[in-house]
Amino acid sequence: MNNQLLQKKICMLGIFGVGKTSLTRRFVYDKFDDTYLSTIGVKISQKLMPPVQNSSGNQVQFNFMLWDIEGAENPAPAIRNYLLGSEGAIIVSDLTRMESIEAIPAIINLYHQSCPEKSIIVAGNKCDLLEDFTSPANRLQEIAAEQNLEFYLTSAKNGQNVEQLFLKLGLLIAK
Amino acid sequence: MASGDKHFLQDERFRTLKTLLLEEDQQKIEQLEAELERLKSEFSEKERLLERFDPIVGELLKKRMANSQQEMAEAIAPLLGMSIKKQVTEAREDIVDALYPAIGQMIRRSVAEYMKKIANDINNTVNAGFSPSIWLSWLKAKVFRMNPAEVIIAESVSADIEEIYLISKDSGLLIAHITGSENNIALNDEQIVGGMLTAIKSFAEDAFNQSNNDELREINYSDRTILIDPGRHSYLAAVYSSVAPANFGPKLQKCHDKIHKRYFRQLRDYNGNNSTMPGIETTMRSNLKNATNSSHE
Repeated sequence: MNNQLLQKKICMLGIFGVGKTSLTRRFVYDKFDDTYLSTIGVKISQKLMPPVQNSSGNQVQFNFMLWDIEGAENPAPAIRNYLLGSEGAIIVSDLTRMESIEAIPAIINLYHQSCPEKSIIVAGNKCDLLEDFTSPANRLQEIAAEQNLEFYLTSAKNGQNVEQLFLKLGLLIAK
Repeated sequence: MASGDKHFLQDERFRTLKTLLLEEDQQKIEQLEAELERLKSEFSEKERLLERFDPIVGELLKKRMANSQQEMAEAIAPLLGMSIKKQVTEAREDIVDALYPAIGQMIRRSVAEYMKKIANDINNTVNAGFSPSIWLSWLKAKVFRMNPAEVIIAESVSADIEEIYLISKDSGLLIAHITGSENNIALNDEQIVGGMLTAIKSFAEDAFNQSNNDELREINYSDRTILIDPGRHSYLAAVYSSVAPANFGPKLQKCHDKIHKRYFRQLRDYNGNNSTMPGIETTMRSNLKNATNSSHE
């Protein structure tokens, strides 16, 4: 039986410099580049996901259209428009910058204003940079628990949990 | 012999011996010193140094260019770029004078080629269907209150409709895509093009919107145009080069209206599943057939 192919728009969100582009690049191309280039506007990539089972028990296969949206403290209206029609979001924070973790609830709020009830997953990125990330990880866990969301500690540099993060989002959307 | 005389005699003999043994070396040292002085003065005086090197620099460059053209080109290219930039800034008139004959010729040739193509197309149109199509064009021009000549020219010039995209309005997901040219973009990139078009459209509408109903209708780059027909749940974007076929805009709109009428529910509830709209590409193709039949389908 053929899998049903579904296009899904996914938004990568988070304040500037948290590694949204690097996570996308690691997931789509399995590459990492540590030179920082700020994303202006939006950058779109796609990745065909492995088939998953949906809530009706049917096999579906997602083609993720990943909208890597520029990070901003105060999002411009155009950014809100970029969120429209998306099926899920990955909210990325930088474990070495507490303010990026504290910004997560506001970003969740912004996303849900445009896309209510859509799936969200949280990533604490750059876990390779810290020997002891107990404190930021605990705070990330608290915020994720308050919002009833799952979270992953990721590293775009060494690929830790990157695949799992996107696969989990696929499973949440399929439910 | 007194002791003083004895010493004097010995010194004299020693000097004579020294002269006999070292005279030749002494002369050589003096010659070398003179030569060194001469070279020193040549190297310290810039102009004399240039005089010495001038004849060999040309030869050296010629040899280097003959042996390693690629390396030389790479080494000189940045300098050339900078020099041209500097000349353009500082001596624009000189550059214009130098390039004018070549550029003028290029433009003349390009325009002549294009005019020849238009003339051929018009001749073909007139010869192929003198009465019905020409009269139809005249009639069309009267109905749409257009210049008849413009209609005939627009129908005569063959536009290349390269791509037509049907895109979900909010998500930017590509619902359907047809190509009218062999030079279409690489497979699988259409989804990204659809997304980026939506992002550009969204940005432009947000940045320049005076009222809430303004929508981006056209994007031009080089000789290509992207004509956009916005709809309730989707938009249709056609990419063409050269001049659009006559009434292409209204045709695109009509095609989009038909799609909306036939697939309204599926477009409204679109969830990324393109199989809910079977035959949509055929609908697009048949409705835009007249507009694209001059392209290489």
